[in-house]
Amino acid sequence: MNNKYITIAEGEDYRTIAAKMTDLGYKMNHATARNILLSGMKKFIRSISGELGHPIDEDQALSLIMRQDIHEVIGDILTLSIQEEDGKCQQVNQTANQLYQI
Amino acid sequence: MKEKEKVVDDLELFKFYQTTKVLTEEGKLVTSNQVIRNDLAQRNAKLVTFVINKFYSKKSKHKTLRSDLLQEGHLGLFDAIDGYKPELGFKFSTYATWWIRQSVNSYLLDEEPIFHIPSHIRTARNKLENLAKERSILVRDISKETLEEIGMTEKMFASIEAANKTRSWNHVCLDMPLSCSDNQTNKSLRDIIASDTPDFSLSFDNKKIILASIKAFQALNTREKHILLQRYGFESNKIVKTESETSK
Repeated sequence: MNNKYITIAEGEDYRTIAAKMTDLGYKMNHATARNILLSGMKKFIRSISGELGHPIDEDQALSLIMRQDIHEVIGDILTLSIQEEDGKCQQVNQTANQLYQI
Repeated sequence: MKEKEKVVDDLELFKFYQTTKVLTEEGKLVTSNQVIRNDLAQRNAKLVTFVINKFYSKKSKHKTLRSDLLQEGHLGLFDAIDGYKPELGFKFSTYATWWIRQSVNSYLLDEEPIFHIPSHIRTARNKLENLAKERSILVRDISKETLEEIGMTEKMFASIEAANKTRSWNHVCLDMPLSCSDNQTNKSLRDIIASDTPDFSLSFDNKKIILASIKAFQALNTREKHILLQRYGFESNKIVKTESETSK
């Protein structure tokens, strides 16, 4: 099934993102926002798996970004990364352990 | 007398309904007066019940699906109202019966298989099965000459045979527990089937993953960064700004 829309528990929908991006000076509609998100996610996943020594090709990345659980994991990874960047990594190891033991 | 009056009324209403229709160049209906459409459907609602009782009351499956069949029948009735042409002189019930039966049959065919089989293949399969029944032979024993007689290609015959194979397939749910004893551990078939896609649950060094993800994130362009962060509810303005500041 070629489903481009995946629902996540928290965060913004594509229309809100498009409106915010337009305010920031990047004029776009909801479909463009979705396409950029998916292409960004594809790059993100490919880059991470390459860094970890498990390179994946374009098709594998595409099949991964169509999965709900991968979207959720990316959200968690981003949260952890931002906390790490900010130097607030009190719970990083604990949450990461929980995440990768699933 | 009353019935006669109603027939006249119905006809007039249908004629008036015709005038409210807006059609495309190809003759497809775009809009019409919904109030009159609903009124006509209410007046002819008993026809649906009649058709269902007449054609779909013998099998036990039809009895259990009765309310669904009635709903489908009503959808067929709406199609009939849209397509009926009173100027041709036929009674509405004659025309609508076919639409109701078509709608119900299509629903019943859709309901049956877990694997979807296109309707033209299903129709051709029924045709072949009826032919085989008539001649008291098996479907696979039907000769090429017979296929040519009924205007069916070999390609279509191959498709029908492929569709028939799905009937014998065993359907297993991926979330089904493996055994009664495994109910406690909640292990299902999904947990033990190997996947082609790479598994992210491999035990990597957590720190390594986070560093890799930071690197990956930095490789994205500004638009992608903003959108990715906004998608997960972060205030992208602050984060992307601080990054550009740090890079400076």
